[in-house]
Amino acid sequence: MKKISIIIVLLLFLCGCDKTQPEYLISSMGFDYSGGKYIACFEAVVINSENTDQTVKLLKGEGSSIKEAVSVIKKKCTQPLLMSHCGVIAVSENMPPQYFKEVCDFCYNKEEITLSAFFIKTSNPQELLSIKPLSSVCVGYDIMGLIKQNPHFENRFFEVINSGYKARLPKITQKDGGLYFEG
Amino acid sequence: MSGQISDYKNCYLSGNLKEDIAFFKEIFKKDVILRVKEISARKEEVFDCALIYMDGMTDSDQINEAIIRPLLTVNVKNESADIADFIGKQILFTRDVKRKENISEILEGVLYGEALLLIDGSKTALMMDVKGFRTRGITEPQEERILQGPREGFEEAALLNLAMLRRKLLTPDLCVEMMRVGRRTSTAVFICYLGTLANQETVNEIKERINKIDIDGILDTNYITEQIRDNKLSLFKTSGTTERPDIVAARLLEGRIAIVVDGTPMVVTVPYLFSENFQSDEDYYQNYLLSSAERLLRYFCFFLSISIPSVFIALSTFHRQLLPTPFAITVIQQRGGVPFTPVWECVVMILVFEILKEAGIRMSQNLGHALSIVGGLVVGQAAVEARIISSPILIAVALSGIAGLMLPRLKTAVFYLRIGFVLISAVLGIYGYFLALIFLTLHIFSLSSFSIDYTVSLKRANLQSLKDTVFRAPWDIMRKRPFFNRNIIRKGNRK
Repeated sequence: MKKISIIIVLLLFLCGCDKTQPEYLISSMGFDYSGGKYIACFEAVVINSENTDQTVKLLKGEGSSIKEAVSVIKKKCTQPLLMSHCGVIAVSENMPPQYFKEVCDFCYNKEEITLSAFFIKTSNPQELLSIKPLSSVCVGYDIMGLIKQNPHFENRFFEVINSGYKARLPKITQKDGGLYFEG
Repeated sequence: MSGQISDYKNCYLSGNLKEDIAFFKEIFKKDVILRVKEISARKEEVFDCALIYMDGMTDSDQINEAIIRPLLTVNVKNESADIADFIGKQILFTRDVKRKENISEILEGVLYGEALLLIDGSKTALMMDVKGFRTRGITEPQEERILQGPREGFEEAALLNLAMLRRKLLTPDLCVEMMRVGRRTSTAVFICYLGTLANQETVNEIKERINKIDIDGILDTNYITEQIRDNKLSLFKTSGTTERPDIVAARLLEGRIAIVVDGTPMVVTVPYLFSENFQSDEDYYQNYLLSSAERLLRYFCFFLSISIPSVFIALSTFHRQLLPTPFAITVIQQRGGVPFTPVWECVVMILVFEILKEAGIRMSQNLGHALSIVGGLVVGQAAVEARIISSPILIAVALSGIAGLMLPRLKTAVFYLRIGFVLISAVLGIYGYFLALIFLTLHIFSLSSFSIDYTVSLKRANLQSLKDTVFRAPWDIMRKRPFFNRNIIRKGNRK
């Protein structure tokens, strides 16, 4: 009983300062494969308790595997990345099918990523995610809005897995700072 | 001598007036409110007697006019061989005269406000009912205020409470049995029920359990209910309490049994069902549609009150993906800079809410506004601005607290469940919440109140059982009483 009381007191008083640093909420992810290297770029909404306005940051990492590319991004951040609100996963249309499966496996094993996230393809994910958002805080959620207006695609994460990674993905392009749905 | 009335169980009057007076004076030698008045009647009949009573507990007008004056002035010839019988039947004007010989029975009466008349040469004393202690008066109970319906409430004198009950139930079927409980207080406890409705086994069970109580004193009904209840460790009440005679009368009409304790306005009713926690006195005095909606709302509020903080803790700590993104951003933003983990923040806020609530109940009404300002501004706004707590937690706890106020009969259970649910959700996330919910449901369904299933009306999945449980059906179709009655037909078919 004495030990339990001590543990409770310690839990109460030694919990320490909790998350005073900004947190990164990943709204969209982009994956490309070029020159034998994987390129991962995450669009992160930086949530700072000192400032009510959210800022958006594009985090980029390269590596011989997706895991390595993502770990490069993680090293740049002081806080863990919150991937559970990732709405869009953009893959390069130039990516060979076997690498696309690897992207899916990475996302699938990362349990925080919701299975209802949308997969899209684009010519250059990094370019797509770096444009200025039009109607929401970040480009990722702008793309989600665009996809929801065209619901005939089966490009949700779980639909892609169910189709054996053979689902037809919609193509999103950017031109002069605007987003276009090409189907 | 243990100082209890039972010490004198085997003592009897001697018949010698001087000796008997000295005996009573010895018993009450350190009690200044005992009065002894010696009277010598010198008329047609000559006798000496002494009147003994407790000042303040008796009506002095009655003592003067119905006892002393006739003893000194009534001049009739004694045709009875028994002097006590002669005085009781031919001289005294009091409404009730009892013959007593045993000292413990006499002491019980004197201490309960009766006057004792000792007669020289007689081993029988007379006890006159001249109770006259001041009472608070009939007022509306502060805790059970209603907008429509009767406004009278019980008060501390049990006999007055029984009279109020009797006035509502003008039937000889109303049974009132008296017991004495408490080694030193010897408190009068009355068990009331309708003979043709109440289950006699339950009545016997109650009497048996009350008889087993061995305690110094009974000052409130809770002294009894805590000791006779089933499932003593449960957070849920298994006996109902009320200060309203109309509620007790309604319960008796449903075949329940009431326990009235002298010295408290709280009356206990048993058996008590889980659904009664969600019933309000007013449900039966207003339109059934409104009552049913309010009753459903109370069930919903019980669920909300125990769920909001724990679900919030589970979602914001373990399952952020389940929160809508803008809300998740707000939560994360507001939590930034707060030095405590969400679970302790939540537990502390629940305790602060309870402190404010208790302080509000105990303090005078004039300080209520000051408390609102301190509670609302200092604890709320200032603590959020100073980043001691985060506003989403404050909102969650406040919503839960307000929902809990809808259920005054479940306040103890809701308080502990709220904290328990928060702690288990902080450890196991949403799985912990559902686990706790399953255990809570199993626990509630395992309870009983005097051998009657606590959730009997919910277990029986038929419309009849739900008529006065989840909703309040119109009187026209509530034809049956709860099943534990001896006679379940409440309403006939007479047009």
